[in-house]
Formats: sequence, C-alpha cells, structure tokens
Amino acid sequence: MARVDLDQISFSVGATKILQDVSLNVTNGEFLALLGPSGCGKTTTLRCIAGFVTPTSGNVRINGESVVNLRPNRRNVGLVFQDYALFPHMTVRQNIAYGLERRNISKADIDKRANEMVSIVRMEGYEKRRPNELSGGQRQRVALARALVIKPDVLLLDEPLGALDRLLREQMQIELKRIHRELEITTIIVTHDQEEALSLADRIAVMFDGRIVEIGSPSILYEQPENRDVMSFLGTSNIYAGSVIAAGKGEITVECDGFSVQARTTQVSSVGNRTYIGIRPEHIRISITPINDEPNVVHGWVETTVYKGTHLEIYVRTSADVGFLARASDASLTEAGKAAVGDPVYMTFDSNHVLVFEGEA
Amino acid sequence: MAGAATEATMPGSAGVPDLHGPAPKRQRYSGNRLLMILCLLLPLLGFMAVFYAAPFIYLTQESFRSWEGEDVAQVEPTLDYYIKTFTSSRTSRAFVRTFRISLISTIIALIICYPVALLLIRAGPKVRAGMLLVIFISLASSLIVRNYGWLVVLADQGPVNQLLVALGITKRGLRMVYSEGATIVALIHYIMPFVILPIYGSLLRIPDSYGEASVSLGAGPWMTLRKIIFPLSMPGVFGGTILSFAICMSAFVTPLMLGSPATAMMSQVAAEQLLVQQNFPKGSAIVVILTVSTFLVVVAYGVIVRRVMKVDV
Repeated sequence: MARVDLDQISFSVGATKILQDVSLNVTNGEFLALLGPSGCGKTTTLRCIAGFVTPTSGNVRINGESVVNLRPNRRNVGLVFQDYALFPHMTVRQNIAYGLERRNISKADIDKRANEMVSIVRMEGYEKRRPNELSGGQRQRVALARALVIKPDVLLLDEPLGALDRLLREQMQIELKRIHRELEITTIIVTHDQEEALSLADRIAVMFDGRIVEIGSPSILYEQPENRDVMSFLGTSNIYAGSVIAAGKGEITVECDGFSVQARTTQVSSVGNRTYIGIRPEHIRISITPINDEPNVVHGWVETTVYKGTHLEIYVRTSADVGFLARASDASLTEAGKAAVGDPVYMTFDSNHVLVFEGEA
Repeated sequence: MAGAATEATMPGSAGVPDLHGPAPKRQRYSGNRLLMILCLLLPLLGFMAVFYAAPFIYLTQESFRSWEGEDVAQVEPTLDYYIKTFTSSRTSRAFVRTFRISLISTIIALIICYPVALLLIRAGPKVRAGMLLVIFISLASSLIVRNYGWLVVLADQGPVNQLLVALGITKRGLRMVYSEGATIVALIHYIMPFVILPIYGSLLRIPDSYGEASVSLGAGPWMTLRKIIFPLSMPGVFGGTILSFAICMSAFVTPLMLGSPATAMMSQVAAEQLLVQQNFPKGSAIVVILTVSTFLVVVAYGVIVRRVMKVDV
C-alpha cells in the first residue's frame, strides 16, 4: 500500500516523444485507470512505474521516495501482463510462490502466504496444474495472485482483461473490485476499454498522444468532461462547432449549423467566440409532435433506427444535413419508437445537459 | 428456451460467478489427420527408406556373418564381431574415446554458445545480422578448409604457440596438432552453429514478458536466467546438443586430419575395417554399435530432460 507520484515524466525515443510532462498522483488504496487509445503512452507510463522504462526526464516516487534509479527487481511492484506471462514450466503453486522465494522468507511463511493468496483468488484445488491446463479466466487469477502475494506497494495491471471474452471480462471486473476492496491496495490499470475504466476505477486519467488530458472520477469524466476529445472518446456523443451569439450570466446561446442551442456554462464567454457544444444521445428526447415552449428544439427527419435491446438508437438528420444520435431507453419514450424512417421529429434537450468546450474551435 | 434465457442472464449478475470454465484439452489426432500427416511425410520416409534404412539393414545383416580370409563362410549367424569389438583393446578404447570426445566437445560448445545465443537475442538488428552472417559463413565453408586452418593455427610454429612463447608460458612450442585436444577444438568449431541456432530459435520464442515478470517479482538477471530463461530454452539446448553430439559421434574427417591413429574415433576404425581390411562383418558390427549406442544416448537424454527439467522436448 502506498501512494504513487509521477512528476512531469517525459520519455522519448530519438525524436519521437512518447510521454510529455505526465504528472499523476495516486493516493493510498486508490484504483486509478489510465485510459486512452492504443499508442497514447499509457503502457509506457505503467512501465515507468514498474521500472522497465527510465523516463528521459521527471521523477517517479513511491511513498514519496524517488525510484527512478531503482532497478525493477528492487521496486516492490506487482505487475500483471496482458498475456499474463505465467511461467509455463511451473505449476500454479510454483508461479505464485516464485516472488516469495526471491525474498528472505521462511518456507513456512511462503506456504502460508501462497495458500492464503490461492484462496483469495479462489483457485483452491488447482495448485498443481500448469498454466496450459487453465482457462483464460483462471490464468488471469493466477497472474493476479502471483503479483499480489509479494505484498507490493502498488499493483499495476496492463490491459489485464483484454484477452478474455465479454462475459468473463465482466466477471473478472467484479473479482478485481472485490480483491481491491479486500486488500486495499493502490492499483493502476491500463486499458483502452472505456467501459472497463468506468466500472473499475475510482478515478480515470485519459491520455492522448503522450499527455494526460483530463483526470477525474468516472461520473465527472462522463457527465461533465472539460475536454472535447474526452467527451467523444468516452461513450457516444453529438459534438458540433458553433459560435456564441448571446452571452448572459451563466448561460450562452450558440449558433450551430442550422440550429441554435442554449447552454449553461461557468466559463466566461463573449459574443462571436468560436466554440464546441456536446450533447449525450441519452439526453435527447424525441417527440413526433411539434414543441414550442422549450428553448432547445431541433427539427429533423428520422434517418434510421437501431434496436439495441436495452435502448433504441434514433439517427436524425436536419434540413441543414446535420446528423444527430438520440437514445431512448425510457418506456415513456416509446413515442420515439413510433417514429418511422423519414418521419419528421422534434428533438429537445435540457440546457444543463449541453456541454460547452470553449477555446478549442 | 427458458433454460437458455437464464443461462444468458445469470453469470453476468452473479455474485458467485462461474470461475472455472473448461480447461483446454489435449488434442487427439483423428484418422483423417493421421493419414494427412503420413502423406506429408511420405517423400522423407521414402528417401530415408532407400538411403538410410536399407543400407543399415544390410549392414546389420552383414555384421552377424562370419568372415575368414577371402571367403565368406556360409555358417550360422554369429555375435563374434560384436564380442570382438568390445574385447579388442583398440576398438573398445576407440569406442570410449569417441564418447569422451563427443561429450567434451558438446559440453564446451554449449558453454561457449549459450552466451552467444543470449547476445543474439539482446543485440540490436545490425549486430544480430552481422553475428548470424558470421555463423552462416562458418557453416558454408568447407570442413577440410577449416581443419587445415586449425592445423596451421595449432602448428608447432603456429600463431598459438608463438603467442604462448611470447607470453613466456612455455619455452618452446608445444605439440598440439595430431592429438585428441586438437580434434576437440576443431569439432567444437564445427558444431558451434548447430548449437547456437536452435538455442537462438528457442530463446526467440520466449516472450519478453516472462523475463519482465520474473524481474518484477524480485528476481535479478542471473536468477531470471537460471529459473526462467534457461529452463524455457531447454528445447533449443536439447536440440542443439543432441545434434552436435551425434555429429561428433560420427566424425571422420576431423579426427583423421587433426588426430593421430592413436586417437582414432569409431568411424575411422570402421572405415579401416570396411575399406582397408575388407572385413565387412567386423566393420558392419562397429557401425551398428556406433549407431545404436548414439541412438540410445539420444533417447536417454531426451527422457532425462523431460523428467528432470519437466520440459517438453
């Protein structure tokens, strides 16, 4: 258990900058996700903490002490690889005991701790199996046990669920949460799967092009992202460019292509500013009868509808050829379900749900 | 229908998830597959039958026959020549010598070649290409030429002796050629590519993450090599050493050029019986003994590696 601090880490290979001024503070017992598209530097960041990559500049501290000059085997870090990296010539038990045997621990203690860990990951009865005799989920458990048994200061997970199928992935997410809760260990997970990050982490750090662009709790990042790229990366969204045509106290009106939108914002804005606005599909209500008494109404025609089981996706196109995606999941909105392709519809949304990204246009 | 529905919804919502899905099973070959494998092996099997099995069967038959002077007496099969091979001090010592030379050459070659293979893995692409080129060049050059090279290098007035004298290690040049030692040196040189390449191949197949996992669990580089990398490279070590051992066991030209009649290996003794003495049954018996004993060593080695190292080879 420990806190982990990255102070302005940069890393480059030749002229290619892989990490640029990455700073991160992970508190004791926190579960943090590094989320981003592949090649954004999230794995490199993880490897900086593990010690396999030495940053070109900046500092890595575990519990306040700099570890940049410490070799990976001297850092007390638990690492779970995407391919699990279980030693194929060793049994489950030998794999788990490997890290303990590298330390000055008595045989009895090794036995005790290894057994304890086997039961934490619920692999009793499988101790004598070899990795190739295990299913993907079981291998994942063993890899986790092997990393956790050494009581690391921090647990690092590199796309640990990437190789599992969807159902197993969801089960392992629950397991990971349970184990994290039981052991209260500082955990950093690298993932490109936003759903995984949203459901596992206390906080998410979103990375693009070697930088952390935004850090926050899953709900803040999803509902009120400050960065337009973060909004479009997390979930689906409608994002439009426009310019401010009226700016009042805490409220602005943005003129987009063929429609205007009222939005609440804390940012100070003046008329004429270029800006982007974003609306989540689930915040758009669809009506087949005209609405006049609401500030944000956009008229369009249903282009196509997609039934997704838990909700209905409605693609709407306006007369200015702007596409909207709306999502209707509420039973009361079956009205949206009545809309056939080609029907005129009216889309409304609350000005609280319109996000404004200024200064990026 | 109802069953399918509950199955689809249950595991996801489970506080008690199904942790242990089915473990992968070992694949069994079906009849059709077996036939296909047989077809693919047919050219090789045909070639081996004509050029290896048939002559060997012929030699084996020959080895049980009796031979007196010019005439081959048509008598009952006899084990005489097998007994003679082991009782005659010349052949029995050659037999032991052949094993000794092969074993020493293989062990030393392994000690030299394993670090080379590790270096190949760690090296950058340019260094790696250069090293592989050197290895292949040494494979491509004629064995005779290389042995002459060693004759020159190890000669009484050769560069090695000049160096030894210059360093004051000896007063006069040492007699190094025409000895068991010279044979071993040349054999090691000959078998090095056969040891390096299989080890390099099996090291290539070990994912970097294995080594990194070991290091992250607190093992130093040496411990990682000993506990993870070396055991996992055993298929290559096994392949390389078995190949070079077999090559050494059947060595003929190298001991002929760099050794002396007093350091003759089994192939030389067999050739002498077959080509000079024209004692075909005796020569055949020696060949059969050499072949069978080499084969037994290979099998025993394989079994030991499987049992002790617990690695599939």
